[in-house]
Amino acid sequence: MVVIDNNGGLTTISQQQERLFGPDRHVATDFRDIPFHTMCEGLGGYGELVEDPDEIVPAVRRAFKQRADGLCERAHPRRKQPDCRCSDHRRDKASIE
Amino acid sequence: MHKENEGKSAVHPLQLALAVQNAMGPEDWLVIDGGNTHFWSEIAINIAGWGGQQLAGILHPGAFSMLGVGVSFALAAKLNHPRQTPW
Repeated sequence: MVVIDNNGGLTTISQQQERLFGPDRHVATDFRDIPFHTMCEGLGGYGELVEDPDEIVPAVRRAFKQRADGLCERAHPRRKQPDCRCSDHRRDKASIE
Repeated sequence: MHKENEGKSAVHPLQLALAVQNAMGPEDWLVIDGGNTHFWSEIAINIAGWGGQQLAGILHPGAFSMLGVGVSFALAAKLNHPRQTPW
């Protein structure tokens, strides 16, 4: 069972870039609208797109009934993560390497 | 973020993580891949655990949230515990 939280990009990296370069200044970290659920179907699995929070659990149960190989979920794009720092220097450096 | 997706969707990543974890049971492995989702899922683990949720195990990408570990961790969980289900 795979659940994809599709937030539309490499947002952990883009947030670090914005910390370095300024608001809305990030590069090569935004995705276009990728239909992961249809990709799963194309590979022979079961895929479903869920956009309503109330449909998450029913979708998971449907996926299991199908002997699920995939399920896709769409979260709000660009929602910032909580601040989780362990080593400031390394995290900032890693985002541009 | 792609301009077409601005303002769309209504599922918060923490809400997603909690809903999925609440649907899991003691025979299920929680596997988390790297990135933003990892951090929200870790918070959800604490919330679900506080509520008494039990899982067979958890595999997560560590402090630096390494991308790409999800598939390999899930396969490893299934290989070592064939009767249990990795999510």
